[in-house]
Amino acid sequence: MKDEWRKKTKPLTLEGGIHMPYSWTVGRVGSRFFIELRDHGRILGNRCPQCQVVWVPPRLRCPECYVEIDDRSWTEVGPQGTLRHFTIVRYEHPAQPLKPPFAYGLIHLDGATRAITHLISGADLESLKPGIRVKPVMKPLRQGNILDISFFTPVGGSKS
Amino acid sequence: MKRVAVVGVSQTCFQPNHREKNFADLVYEVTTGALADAGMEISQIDNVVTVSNDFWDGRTISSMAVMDACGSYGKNVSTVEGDGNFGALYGAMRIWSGSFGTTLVVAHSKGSEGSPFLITNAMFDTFYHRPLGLDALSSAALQAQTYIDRRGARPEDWARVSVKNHRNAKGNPFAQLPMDLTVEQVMASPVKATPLKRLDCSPVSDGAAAVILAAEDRVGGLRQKPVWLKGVGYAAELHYLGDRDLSHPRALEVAAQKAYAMAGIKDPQGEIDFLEVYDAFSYMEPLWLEGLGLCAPGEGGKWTREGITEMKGKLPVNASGGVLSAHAVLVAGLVRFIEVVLQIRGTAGAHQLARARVGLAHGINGPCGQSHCVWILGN
Repeated sequence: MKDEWRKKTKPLTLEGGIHMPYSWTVGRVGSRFFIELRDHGRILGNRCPQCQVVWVPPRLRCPECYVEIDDRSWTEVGPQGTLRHFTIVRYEHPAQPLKPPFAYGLIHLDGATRAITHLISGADLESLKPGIRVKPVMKPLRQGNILDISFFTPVGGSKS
Repeated sequence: MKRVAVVGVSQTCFQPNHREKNFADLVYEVTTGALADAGMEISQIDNVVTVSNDFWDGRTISSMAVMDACGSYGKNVSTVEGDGNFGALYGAMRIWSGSFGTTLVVAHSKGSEGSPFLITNAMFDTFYHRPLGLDALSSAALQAQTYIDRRGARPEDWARVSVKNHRNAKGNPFAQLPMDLTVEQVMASPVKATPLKRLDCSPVSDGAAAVILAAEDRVGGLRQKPVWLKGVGYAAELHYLGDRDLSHPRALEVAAQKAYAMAGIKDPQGEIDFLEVYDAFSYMEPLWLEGLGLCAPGEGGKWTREGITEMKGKLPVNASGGVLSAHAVLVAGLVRFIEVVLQIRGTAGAHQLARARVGLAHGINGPCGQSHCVWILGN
């Protein structure tokens, strides 16, 4: 019978995967940001000479005005800030740096204009509210990447 | 500039796992489907735009894997790595430019084959966001919470969106999740990332879609009455989540106003009959209605509550069931476009709207709707 093979053939799947190593160049602006974080535990931003926005992380040029941001405009921000908005994550994946439940927050660091996104932990997550003060919890051994800040935690409310 | 029409459309049914078809098989199905719908032969297709993403397909230059399947042998073919609604834009531009008379646009995605968490985590920049473990769901949850905090949005209204769209899907034979739900069931479904619950989230689907676009001097003698591209607008905003006000879709505002201006629409609320918008998560539907300028900031939820967006409402939204009812990534925006075409033709079947002369089709790209494409189609 024509096409009988279609009924008889059980479709196969091929199991596989891709592991693809990279060495991503951070760039001078990002390198300075991460080196300052690694060596001194300080968070840097830079100010657009035109719109005066203090960008964190710092940028080579203002993403909105598209003007170059000069060297004199670097400024230290935070380390404390205000938690603007947050989500408490209840699902788990091995690529998450913390075990759920933990939170992601949009954090307005003192002296910055916009927010950064980072992890929120080390506290009773149910007590989180928009507008509370948060501080970074630095890793003791820092390597020059964004997870040199383990997470942000409420000021005065930290368990760790 | 020549007028351009949609003359052929096709979509697969959307499933959690099309185990019997690889992605080239899906593309073959919709390519032949769109040709049959248009009453065209492959020789009448001047050029092809494919829509694919290497991470979802698990190979580089994923477009090359579907070259045979989309009938592009010997033709000019180019690719959009992004939502299929932008694929239609590129396809139309190739006709508006005068370079080609017809374009076939095909999009495919098999969410079942990869890891949606790892693939959507990989859309974030390598230095500041990806190491945090963000993915499409957790970043959307941040946007949803910002929408509550800044515009007073209510999760109960989003639950109504989910109830409405899953119910609408019952009339759509291509949808994956036709369901009768209650607001209480949506609200009681497990929390994935506050404030989003399982039933606020779209599924990840397998499927494909295709459209054929033609210049006005090429629509004669074809099987379908043409549906015309009246207007289009598109815009992007900043990539880092913290740089943006996630409750204020600025890029959508720009895209919508451009599309209305091109279509000569002065009163969008009065002149547009229905919409298909990219509701990957329930809260997106009301938020995009605000960005489209159809209602005031913070009023999107009220529109849902008052039934304005129901199939029988004043301005029906996602009569097809929307992305909440079938979400093949990249394909879903092209499906919004196709659904608007079917409604305007009057061939949408069980989910056909009573009034469907001018429709809006919307697609997004990037985390939390970083970029938007808005189409106005009409007869």
